[in-house]
Amino acid sequence: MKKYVSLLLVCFLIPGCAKQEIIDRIKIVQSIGLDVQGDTYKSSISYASYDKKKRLDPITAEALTLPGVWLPQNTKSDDQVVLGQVRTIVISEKLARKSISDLAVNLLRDPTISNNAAIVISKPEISTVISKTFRDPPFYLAGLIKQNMEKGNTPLTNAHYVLDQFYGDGQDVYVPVLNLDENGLIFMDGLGVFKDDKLRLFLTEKESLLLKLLKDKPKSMTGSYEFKWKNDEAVYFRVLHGRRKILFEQNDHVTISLKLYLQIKGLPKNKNYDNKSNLLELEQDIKQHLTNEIEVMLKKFQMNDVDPIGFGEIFRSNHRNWNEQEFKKDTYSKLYFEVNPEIVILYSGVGVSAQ
Amino acid sequence: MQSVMTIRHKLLHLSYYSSIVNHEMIHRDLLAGIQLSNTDIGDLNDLKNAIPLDGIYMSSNLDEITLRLLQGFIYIQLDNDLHEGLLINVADLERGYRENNLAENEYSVIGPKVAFVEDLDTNLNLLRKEIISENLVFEEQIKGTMSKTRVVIAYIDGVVNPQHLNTVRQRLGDLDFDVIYDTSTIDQIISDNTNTPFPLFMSTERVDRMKVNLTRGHIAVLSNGSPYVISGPTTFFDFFNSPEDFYLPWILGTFFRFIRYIAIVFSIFASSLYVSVMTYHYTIVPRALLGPIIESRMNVPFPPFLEVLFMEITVELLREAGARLPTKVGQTLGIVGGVVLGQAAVQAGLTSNTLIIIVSLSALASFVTPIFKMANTIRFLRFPMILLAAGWGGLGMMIGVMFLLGHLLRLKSLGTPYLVPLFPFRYKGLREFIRTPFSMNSERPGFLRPLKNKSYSVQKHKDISDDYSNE
Repeated sequence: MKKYVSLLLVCFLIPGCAKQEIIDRIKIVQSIGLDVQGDTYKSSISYASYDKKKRLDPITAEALTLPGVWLPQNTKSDDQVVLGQVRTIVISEKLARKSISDLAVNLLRDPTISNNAAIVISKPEISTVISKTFRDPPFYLAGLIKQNMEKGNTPLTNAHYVLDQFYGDGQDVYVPVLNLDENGLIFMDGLGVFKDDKLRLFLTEKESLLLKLLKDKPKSMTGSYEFKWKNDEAVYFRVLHGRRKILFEQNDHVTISLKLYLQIKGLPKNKNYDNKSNLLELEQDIKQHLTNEIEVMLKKFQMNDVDPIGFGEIFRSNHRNWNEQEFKKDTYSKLYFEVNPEIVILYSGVGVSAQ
Repeated sequence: MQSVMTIRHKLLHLSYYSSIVNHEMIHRDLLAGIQLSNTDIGDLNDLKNAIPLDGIYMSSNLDEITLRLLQGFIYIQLDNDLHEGLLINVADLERGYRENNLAENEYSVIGPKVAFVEDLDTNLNLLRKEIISENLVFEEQIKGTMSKTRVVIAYIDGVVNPQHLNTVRQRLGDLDFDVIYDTSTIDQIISDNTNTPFPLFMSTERVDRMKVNLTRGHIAVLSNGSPYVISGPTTFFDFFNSPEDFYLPWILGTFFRFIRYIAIVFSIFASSLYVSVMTYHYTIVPRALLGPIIESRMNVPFPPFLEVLFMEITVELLREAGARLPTKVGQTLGIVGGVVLGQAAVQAGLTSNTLIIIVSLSALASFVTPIFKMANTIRFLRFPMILLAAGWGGLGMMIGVMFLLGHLLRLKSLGTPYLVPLFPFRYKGLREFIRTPFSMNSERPGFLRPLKNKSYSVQKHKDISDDYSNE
């Protein structure tokens, strides 16, 4: 017994070796920006700062390998730089076009980066975007992206999803895209779809909503859409939630059935909101429009040989002998898609419109 | 004091301790009785018949005489026969002891506030008046070689488990001490494990709590000169029961009991959680909290561990000092210490805002246990936890919890495990956690192993039917 007690007391000498990261004496990084120029990687780090008096600058680093710039060494900082609360990783278009396999490897091997971090591509220069984040409150960028995923037109994606799509078979990576508008405000601008590890094509915001309808879970199938009806009048509706089923009929025939619950927000002036036949007609037209748009988008994917919706994955779960190469070469381009949306207009609001 | 008196031509030798006898009783009853008696006093028996008091012994044993004289008896010897004398009990029980028995330390708004006093006979009187049953047995012993304190074991025969009773009797019988200061002394000597900060006997000064314990099958030990009565065997969860729970409807009683459990957990872990999160685990802080926490800590030059230690020691100093100050000064200092010191510490940059809240709340929360002894334990347990959290962060806190659990699981109070109904899991015993309505409480708790299980039978209302129209 005495032996154990003395052993225990000796254990209490060890805490001197524990690494302390006292919360107000560290630089908490909120976003990492990565860029590549030729062979050199560059990174620009923005940290959360709650001290109004200090001058705020992004910490930059340059190296020949990605791990070299991942956590910049503390030569430019007066406190220890830590990556535990990183919520956004911004990569430049150049890096995306070059390859993201280095980034994926680093994400996988670094235990301090959270799996919930959002990975985004930025169309303008990385340094502009990162220095812009200093003028906003801390974690503004993370909030912007998260809010768009929950209530806007961006499909749900984070580091966990990206790694799963990157290393898994039958699915291609897609990440949201940032852009700066004329006033210098950051906004979400569609999606970027990768083929293998290189950026392949950009999707507009409308197409990103359609992708969201095809990929997301029912609760987060939300977004707003605007389309032109006949006579060139615009209709604006919001998707509240929906359900989706993707089935295979025969080997080359894929049926996608969607059921969407909409809230109509803007009708043309000469239509009445509570006229039942109007709404029915509207439903039919929205159905038709969505079918067309989705089929066009899917054909675009087939032509570019990318598969962000993951038909390969769905095929793999249904077929015993499935080979990714075979699927990509032969089957994917021959798939015939049949889209059956069903529209339910839940709310059209109250009100009179001009008769 | 010895004096010689001549009453009716007889010489009487009186010996007594004048500080502990009731002089009025001597003058009014004893001496007057002898003086006014009709018969001639020839020997001791006549004297005995003449005195209108009871409890008179004849004795010539020097040991017994010394013992009795110390207890307030008076020894009367007749002049012609100095070998033998009468011992009469004229002890002054009233003087020096307080009269009121309002329960000050265990206060409850509703319900009787009767508390025990220092005098053993008054306490026995109170108990006997409340439990009117011929099965209530008091066994008296004298303990303490120098204090000769009367110690009484109280139990309800037929309900209490004879094994527990024998344990208590045997331990008390083996007890050897010089002065029994308080029942806490007895508590520490006969308890199962003295190396624990947890109280193993329930000690209370309220009569209704002791009533409840006796009827459920506990054994109580009272001692002369102590207003606290200890009873065993207890479990850890008994210390969170307050008599007020029983006087309120059971839903409210349960709610308040849960508040107490949460308060205990908060009190032990809040400060150490602060230390470990601030020092090692910044990653788990939610986004919205990062701002306030960092801003409040920005001007503090100390690491979180020193900050917490400083604040905790300040609070402990306040408490200890406040307990010893006279009332008038104590009130002022309470306000000064509480409000001004906290604010000033923040302004001076010695602590952060969040920490003041956490430390003061956890200090408050440690006192929600109705029994004072457990509150002290909780207050003490925070410090090792803070040390462990400062050393190893979250891992240190888990190590502390492991040690605590390991210690608690091995504790036994009079042979029953301390963590019943959690550890030797008793499904029926789970109703100890909530204050069950009386309709469900008709059986005595199983860990006490009573001889009779059922305490009362539950009958339905005869005039209110049990269907939904009653709701």
